[in-house]
Amino acid sequence: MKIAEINLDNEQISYLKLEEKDVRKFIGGSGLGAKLLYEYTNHQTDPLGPENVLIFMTGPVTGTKVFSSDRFEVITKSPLTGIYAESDCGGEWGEALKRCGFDGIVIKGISEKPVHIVIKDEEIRIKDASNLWGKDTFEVDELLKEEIGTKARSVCIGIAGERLVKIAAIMNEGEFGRAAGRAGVGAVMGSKNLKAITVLGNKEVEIAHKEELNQFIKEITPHMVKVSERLREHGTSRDVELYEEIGDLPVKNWYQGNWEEQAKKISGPAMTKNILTGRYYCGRCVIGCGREVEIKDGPYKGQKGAGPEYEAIGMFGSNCLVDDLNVIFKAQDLCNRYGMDSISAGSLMSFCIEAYERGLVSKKDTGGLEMTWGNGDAIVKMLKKIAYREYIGKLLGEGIIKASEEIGGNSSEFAIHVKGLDVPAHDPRAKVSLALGYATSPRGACHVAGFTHNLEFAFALPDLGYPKTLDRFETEGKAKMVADMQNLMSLFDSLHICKFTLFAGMSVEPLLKSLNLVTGWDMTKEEFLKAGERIFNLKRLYNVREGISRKDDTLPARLLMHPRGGGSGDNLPRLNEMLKDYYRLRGWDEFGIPTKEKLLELEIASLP
Amino acid sequence: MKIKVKLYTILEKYAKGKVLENDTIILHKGTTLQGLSHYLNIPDDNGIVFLVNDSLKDKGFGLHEGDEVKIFSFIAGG
Repeated sequence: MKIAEINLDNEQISYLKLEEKDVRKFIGGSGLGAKLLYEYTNHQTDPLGPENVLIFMTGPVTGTKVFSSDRFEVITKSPLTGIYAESDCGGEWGEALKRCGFDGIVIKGISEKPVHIVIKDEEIRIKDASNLWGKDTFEVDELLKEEIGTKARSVCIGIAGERLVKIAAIMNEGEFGRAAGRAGVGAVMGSKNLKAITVLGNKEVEIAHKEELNQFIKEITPHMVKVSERLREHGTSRDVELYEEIGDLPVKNWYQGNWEEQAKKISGPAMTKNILTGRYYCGRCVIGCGREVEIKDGPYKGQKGAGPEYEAIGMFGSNCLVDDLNVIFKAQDLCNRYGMDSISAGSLMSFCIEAYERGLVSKKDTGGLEMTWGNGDAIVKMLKKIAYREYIGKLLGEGIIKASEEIGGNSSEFAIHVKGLDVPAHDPRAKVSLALGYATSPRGACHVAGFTHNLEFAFALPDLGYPKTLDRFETEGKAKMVADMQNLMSLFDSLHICKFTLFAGMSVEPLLKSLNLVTGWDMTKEEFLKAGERIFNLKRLYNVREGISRKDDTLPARLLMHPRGGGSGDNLPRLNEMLKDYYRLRGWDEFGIPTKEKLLELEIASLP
Repeated sequence: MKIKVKLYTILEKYAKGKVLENDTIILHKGTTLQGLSHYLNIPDDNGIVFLVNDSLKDKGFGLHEGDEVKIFSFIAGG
């Protein structure tokens, strides 16, 4: 395992020495990244200061034939939430870094001037980036392909990251790209004056049992390809209509129940019918959920680019009452160009609209924009104000907690976040496990840290002990399921594999088999699942050190106390009940702190 | 008995020749959702979701005259 440490204070490069037992205990990706972050930082670390680190980690199977393994994780202390942050990203950058001979890189310090890191095979250079500063992420990607080579792969920040907007993302692959979007990782990169990291390498990725791995992948490919067709055809937004039917799709800042006719207009099938021109894939992927679109009419006519993902459709669309796919495309496109998290940006839009409609925000505050429900044009213009820190955009860019504190009134009632991270577009009143998942996810409200809602709706995972789908409104049994799924997802984030493969059969046993064939380990299923539990607890420990406890493991009142109607009727998640069971099952005390016994059992009691 | 059936996204093709234009279908009394699914030749995959009169039901649910069934092939999005 080779991890480079790049110090931007003095441009010194060194290499970390990791013990084999630690690699096996934390596996890679976000597991090892969390361990490094725990050691590098502490509760006094300023997320935007020189002492914070920005860690890019691949997983042990990155760059192999294992499906959808060409991913990487960004791990840091979040400037948005002040706690642990991780953000997963697809594309092809992860494999390209691995082919340079690196499993990860740790960036520390702050450069005096804008810089660009170039890694060619094992050579690392730090270059002046004044030619890139001020450019959007699409322009940067194109310039770097011209400068370094078309096979080079880059991650970069846009205007938002440069200006330390707290919802800034790190972008990858330009126009048809991917984002490490959540928790403000782009602002940390901006704080270091680091505009981009380009990787280009030719090394073979080592595989312990290459023939057996090839055979295994060959065996599971037909099923994987067949099941993936469902996601390939209409992309991640294929089920918008269904989500509206069952009360999962957020509508009008999480207040309203139904929005049936409009939901049809912004669904995946509508995108396929009206604007789709092609599909794109991350490295090693057989799914191809990425959309290529061209707008056919209206003010954005002729514009081409990546089609909106489900999350953008939920957050900019139904949650802001915008039923125009062209506008949602434009909103996501701007987020990608400026380098901003489209989930948080969308959440800030619906929050701002509600504040405007309630008279807490004026037209003077918005720079003349009428932030009203369904006003897509105002949303598109407001996104620019966030990226450039103008008018109320400056405040919104500080994140939803700060914005709510400044706006005042009853705005905290409709600021929909957990620990400062905006809630993504799945409603815990429709699938109650999400309430517990959002309350306990290491980075704040996150649906992929547990991915539990799938087991409450049409899916089963027999090799994790769930042979049947659970009732989506039932409280009993959810605490165990959430803990089990969080442990499993910690493994996905550490190996590093796309979680969509789970629906095509990539569950516990195939995942473990892939890991053992690549590494040559002989890890048992018990040891593997224990590693997932260890990694999840380590992230909790990080947050406990930051002051997180039971008081923070909660949801906004709107999601706990306001029945939205529609497909989830008057159902409300019984969070306290689930949380009590969850702490007990996790081996945490009543304040949500892991007990000494649990830490000893997980072999992480020695961490300071 | 006469019921209404609506198929979504990739399942739309299974309606052809079996579901009438006004979304109706004639079934034997007591047919379950599993039976309806077999009749329409919908593959028995992980991820098929049935809503009967807008409530989620499992495959063993017995249908009644006038029920409205919506069938989705679900795969969780991002």
